[in-house]
Amino acid sequence: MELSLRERIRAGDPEAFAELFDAHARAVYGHAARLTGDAGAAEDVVSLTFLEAWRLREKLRPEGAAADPGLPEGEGLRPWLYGIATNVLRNTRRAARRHSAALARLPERPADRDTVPDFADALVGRLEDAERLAAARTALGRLPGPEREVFALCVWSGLSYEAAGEALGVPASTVRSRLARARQRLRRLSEAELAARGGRRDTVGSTQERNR
Amino acid sequence: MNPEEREEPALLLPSPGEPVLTDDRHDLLKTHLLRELTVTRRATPRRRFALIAVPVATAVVAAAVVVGVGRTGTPATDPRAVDLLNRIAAVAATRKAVAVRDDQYLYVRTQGFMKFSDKDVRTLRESSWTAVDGKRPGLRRITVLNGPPFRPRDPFSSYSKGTHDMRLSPDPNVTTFRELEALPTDPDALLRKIYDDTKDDRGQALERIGDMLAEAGLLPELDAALYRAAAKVPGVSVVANAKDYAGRSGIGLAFRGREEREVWVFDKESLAYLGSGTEALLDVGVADKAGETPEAPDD
Repeated sequence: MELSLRERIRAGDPEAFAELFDAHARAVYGHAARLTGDAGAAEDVVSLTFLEAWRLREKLRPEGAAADPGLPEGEGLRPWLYGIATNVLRNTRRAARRHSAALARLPERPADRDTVPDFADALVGRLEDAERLAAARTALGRLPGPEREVFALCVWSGLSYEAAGEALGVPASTVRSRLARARQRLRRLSEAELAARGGRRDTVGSTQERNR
Repeated sequence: MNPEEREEPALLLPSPGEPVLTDDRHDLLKTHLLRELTVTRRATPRRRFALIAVPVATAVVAAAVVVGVGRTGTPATDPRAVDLLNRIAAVAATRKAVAVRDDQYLYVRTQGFMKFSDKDVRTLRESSWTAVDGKRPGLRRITVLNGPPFRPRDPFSSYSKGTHDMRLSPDPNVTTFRELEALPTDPDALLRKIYDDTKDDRGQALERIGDMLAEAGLLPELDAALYRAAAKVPGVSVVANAKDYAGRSGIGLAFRGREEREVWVFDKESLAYLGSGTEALLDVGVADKAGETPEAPDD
């Protein structure tokens, strides 16, 4: 009988982990980069997530035992992996300690200044990407932790409420309400900022003061 | 979740863009992961220890401060283990040193295993030839005794059942025979150096010593110093009947390594090192060419 990918992962088949990596490493990287705002740190999160997945492979629920029997297995292994990534992101230092020997064997990342881009445009593009990422991360930082996670999972990584709930170990309804709260908070914040900017514009003198 | 539910909140924050893991980084991280999943489940591959020789004089100065100071929760020292290690050292010191030329290869043959999963543990015999000066490529020949047959898509096809040769590129992280020769043969100085390299971790220091025992068999003074150094590390105990990974029994010395309990096994009569509970030492010698089995010594 052909074992499913899920069963092969549970059995600790390294080839299954190779497939899992091919299928999801890029997405986990994107999620980690958006939540940390740091492309370099995101690579470590990818390594740690898959090392943790290997360590915890036997805890992956077996085939057929869906968290909610009414749900299809559609999202497959994604929620499980995002759940592990979430824990790694919550406490990267602890995960790094656990896998310190493995991380030490990780080939060093070339620093940006060591790589010569073909065109100056490429470098500029990369810096712009890095700035945009950092700006989004700063803005995301205005949300409390649980809302931040839900926002990144559902809005930026495109997980369904159910999948995000499975990743975070909470019901889908909790995901929905956290996202609603996040949305309200962000709306209030941006309205407040608009108002603040408008207010300054009225008082000409102080605006000049600030613009210097 | 419908698209608007996603789009509206997305507009409330600046777009983070699409951070991309490039293909080369992806492949590099993947290779690293797969190596970690397999090779490192066993202790660090035996000959990949990074001990860089220091001038003996420096090491001797540092030797005054030794062992056990400031380490919390020091395990008890078993006087029988200390006695046995010192006897093993005394016998080791009387063995004949082997003359080795720079153009030759160090030959080590072992029997060990590679754990791919709890259900897939492959026994393998490994012969390796490492350039004495570390400057020329070596050879690693493994024979996997039990394991799946060769399949082209298998990322671990080099561990399928059968014999596989791998070229070993010169690697600065692998200690060369010449570097081993340059290590201090004063047990205190040697131990200080090993503790420095292992951040004073006892289990790791003993593992480090264990890593060197095979090759050190050709260097009687270093060999004796390694056992005398081990005698100064607390936490080693005697196992009356121990078995190496090939099933040969002898007297054992056990300690807690970084991950699991380790046992070194010695012949009860000759006190020769047989190997460990996870890797048996079958042969060690010097060969003129990589791939060539050295002749048995004629004594």
